[in-house]
Amino acid sequence: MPNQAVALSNNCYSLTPAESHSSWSQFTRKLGSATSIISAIPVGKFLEVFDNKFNGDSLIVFRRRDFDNLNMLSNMSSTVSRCLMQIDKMTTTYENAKNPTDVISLIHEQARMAIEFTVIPTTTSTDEYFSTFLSEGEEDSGDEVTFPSSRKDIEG
Amino acid sequence: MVSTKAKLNVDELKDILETYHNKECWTKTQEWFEPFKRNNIERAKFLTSIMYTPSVLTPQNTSKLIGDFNVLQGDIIKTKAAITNNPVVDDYNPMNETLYVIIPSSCSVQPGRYKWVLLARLSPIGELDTEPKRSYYENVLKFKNGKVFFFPPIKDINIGPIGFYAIFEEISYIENSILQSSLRVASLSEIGWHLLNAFIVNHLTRPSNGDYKARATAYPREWSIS
Repeated sequence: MPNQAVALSNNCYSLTPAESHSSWSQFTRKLGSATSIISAIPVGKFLEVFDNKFNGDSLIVFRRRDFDNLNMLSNMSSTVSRCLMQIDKMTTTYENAKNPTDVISLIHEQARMAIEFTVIPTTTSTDEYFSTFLSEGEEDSGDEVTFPSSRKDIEG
Repeated sequence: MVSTKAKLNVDELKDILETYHNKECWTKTQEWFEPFKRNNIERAKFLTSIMYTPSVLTPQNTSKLIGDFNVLQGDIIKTKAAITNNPVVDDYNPMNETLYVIIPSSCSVQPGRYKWVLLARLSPIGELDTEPKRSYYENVLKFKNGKVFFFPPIKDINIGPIGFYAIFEEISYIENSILQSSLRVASLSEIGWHLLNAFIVNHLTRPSNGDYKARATAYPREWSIS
């Protein structure tokens, strides 16, 4: 199994495991509704669901706030976005689905999306991420760089 | 660094921003700001000087436009009654009063006209003690970051000594009927309001070139009235 804790970490913001479930049926027995899933995942934590149907990978579920933090503070945003949208749908699916088989089928699809997220390398630090983002098109012109340190610096 | 002799024509900027809905407006705006180079103190100082009205707009000085209603688009309000879904930074606490800007919409907010009013949360900018924070700040000041917009410090508000990031990644809103429970703390000046409009048009609602092309042919070049 991939080491999710490592895969979900970066230098600025990291998630740690809340709990794991060794099978899909165990997961649904314990957390059969969106409400129970949400209460089972504190901020900064994620849970993993393993199942043979996932072909040896796992489903990762974490909170929207953590997604936003990862999105803002790491270099993984585009992939995380895809993952999150699917997870959002998953909770809706739970609430609306009448046929459990359909739910499993949908979750299985979503799990495959989530798995993509777990294999993203996390070698770029937040500092590197910001400087890469910020230096786009910026040439070192030799101009003096100044930054305010207090209110009086920028108020007339 | 801006030379002490360098002078910028602010009326020119005002004229540029009045065409905020045009495609060229943003390029011209950025060109206007170029002489500031990387002097972020001066840049922030300038934005502070132009962004807000000297005092908060009130129903008394805008009564003909907004009746007895007491907020306008471009007003900064302090409230506990707004809702922020999925805050992207940890400084949000729904139990505390939070600052928001009322997002410019197609017309001014009027009583009973809309059920919900769209807001953007103002997150106070902390100390710029690390390189990523400094770079991020500079980027926002230069309007290069499409996710946040810089708001200068607000008079008589202790938080945000070097300004705020208005966060557009979050969805914040307030029910019209309880808007009046909020305290209005600042109003955007005409130039500040247009600057925010230009930012929104160019960063948040800007269509891609593909969109332009796809829509360009979608009308008859001539029309004969039968």
